[in-house]
Amino acid sequence: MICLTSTISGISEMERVDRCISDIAKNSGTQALEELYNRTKDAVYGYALSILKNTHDAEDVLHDCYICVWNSARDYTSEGKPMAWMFSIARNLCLMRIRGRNRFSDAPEEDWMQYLEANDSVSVDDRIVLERCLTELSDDEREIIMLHALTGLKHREIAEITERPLSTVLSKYRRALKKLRGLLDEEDGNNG
Amino acid sequence: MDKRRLENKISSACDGLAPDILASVLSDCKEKEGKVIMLNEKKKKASFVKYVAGIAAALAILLGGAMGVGAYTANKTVNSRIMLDVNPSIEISVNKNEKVLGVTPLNADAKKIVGTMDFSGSSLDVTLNALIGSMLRNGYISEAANSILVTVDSKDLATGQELQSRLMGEINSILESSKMTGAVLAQTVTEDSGIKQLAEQYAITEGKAKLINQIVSQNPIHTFEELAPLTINELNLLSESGNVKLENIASVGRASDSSYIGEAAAKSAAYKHAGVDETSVKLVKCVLDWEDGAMVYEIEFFTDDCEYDCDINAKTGAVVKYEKEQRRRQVIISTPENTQTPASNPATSYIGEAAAKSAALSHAGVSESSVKFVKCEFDYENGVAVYDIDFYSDGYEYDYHINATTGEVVKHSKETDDDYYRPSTAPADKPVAPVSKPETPANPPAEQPTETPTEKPASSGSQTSYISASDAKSVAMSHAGVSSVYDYDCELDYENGVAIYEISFDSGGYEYDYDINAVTGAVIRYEKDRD
Repeated sequence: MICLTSTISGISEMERVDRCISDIAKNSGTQALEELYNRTKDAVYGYALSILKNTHDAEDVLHDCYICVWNSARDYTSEGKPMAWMFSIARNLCLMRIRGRNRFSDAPEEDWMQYLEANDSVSVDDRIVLERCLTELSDDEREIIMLHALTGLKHREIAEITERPLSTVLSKYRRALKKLRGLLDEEDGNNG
Repeated sequence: MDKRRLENKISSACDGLAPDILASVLSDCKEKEGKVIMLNEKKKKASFVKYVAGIAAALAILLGGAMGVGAYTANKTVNSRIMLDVNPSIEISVNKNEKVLGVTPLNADAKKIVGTMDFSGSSLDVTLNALIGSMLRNGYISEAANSILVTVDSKDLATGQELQSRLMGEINSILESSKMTGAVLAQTVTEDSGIKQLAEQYAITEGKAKLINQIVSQNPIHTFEELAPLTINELNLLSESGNVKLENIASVGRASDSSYIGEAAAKSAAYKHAGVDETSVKLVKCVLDWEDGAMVYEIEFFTDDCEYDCDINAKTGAVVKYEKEQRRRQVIISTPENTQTPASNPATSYIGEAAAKSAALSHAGVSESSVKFVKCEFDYENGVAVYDIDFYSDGYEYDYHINATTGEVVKHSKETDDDYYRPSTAPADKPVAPVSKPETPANPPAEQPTETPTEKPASSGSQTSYISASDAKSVAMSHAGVSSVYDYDCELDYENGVAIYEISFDSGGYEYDYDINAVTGAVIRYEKDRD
């Protein structure tokens, strides 16, 4: 499980991510970037895939996100919110890609379903939850719940990143949970 | 399914989902860094002009000499020494006008480069161009090995530093004009008898000797003798991967590793040799290092069962070292009566799960009745058998590692549990902050948000302590005038330096959002909306 909120040996994962970005800013080699990538890639990719629903686009955003981090780390001010900073970058890259699609009427195929099914390391139960998340939630609901689940960001931080009022974020978050629970309970009932 | 479980499932479903594009990211980062240099057009143009001017000056001198006109008297005093290292190590001595007094090849490769060229009386720029050009033509500098070290030893430090900076730019421009992305290291040194002796002993420049000394002193697994034959590109890569901080050495560009198989291929070779699937592996480390006379990728990874340590030859991809160690990890199903000792260590006596839980509860100062255990696993930490215990109590999440033999607390953490929800409304062991009663429970609060706290802050001394999440929930429920809620959510956050609980819940067909001051328990803001 992606675990960006756990505490190991007194240093939280968030502090480690924060440290990586600071080290990149010090221009001390690519090791810090590599560590940052290994710690956060699944969260960034999962988020991008949930927005773009196309594996190639999500991969491009994943790639460009770390290049942006590499180039912009000097502008990062450590306030203990590295994920908020990184996911603002990832979000902007996703939005740019969507704008590009609109401009060129170039909506790529939604191939995420096959990709998820090919990932053997994920249990069927977990995959079904993610699939429901991608198919049944509105774009806003999906983005908010993915950010909350993958990054451990607070609702207030999500409100800042997504440029929505806190009350909207809270409301959409709750509705998303309710929808997902309803769907999963229904499926459990049908299976049982 | 509760909120935490649902989110965990989403998170788990993304675990291992990202494609491995690290090599491409790193490569592009390097390329972009190179582009920064290449875009420095001003420098490039200035350098070209200087280059032409240098040649013109040299021709003028030759012409003057041929016509027998010049009363040119060369200053034979060495003002600066410029040392170049790639693998060829060359020393250039110049006078105060930067006219070359001599060029000394220090090793066999350098002799090949210098050949029969006589640079006496030429300008430093022209000499530098000729030497770097020769190294490019002879393949000592290429895209696969792009690092150059330039070292200046001048009579006065300021002149030396100015020269160092100028030469660094000059070399970069020469490489750019050959469509190369270089990695230039530059330093200014003063004479050091110890370094001089090492340099003479290993037929390298004092500059390279100084660089190796820095690497060895920060990474003592290497010896000077071992690193002396390495090229500057290899030394540059070693410093980067070994996180060596090169003091007083300016650096532009990144050392090329394109002659190596790359991390992705090295990892694949290691996984293949170990007979494991990439998806089941957690990578700990993958760095370049110098082992037994060859560059290797040092790769450490683990699976659920074993830890692996593997060295892959960076050029051939061959496995040169392989170690595998059992992780000796066993999960015990968490049931209250389960106190069996792990089967993998039948001879060792452990305190049992119940005693481990008691030790954790006792340390946390909470009673078993107020606790919800979520994990109790037997594990090894740094070779010590421990019980890894997670539990919730009164709005906090606890994580304990208890020594399985002695019962001692090895590690512990306590965090606010954002999702904690206890149906009981009576917090037992925490002081409750003043709670404002709802004006009329039958009359729900106005729908407009208010910025006015409903209660004055309770006393808060210099030592800040927060009310518990469940107390904050009681405040919100009491304010809303509701006795049962669902879809409850609570986060501790900071707004303008004030700690607040952000609480949201549904009740009676309405959605409620509250901000509760985490110190005083006062309602800072609330909203109520139709569900």
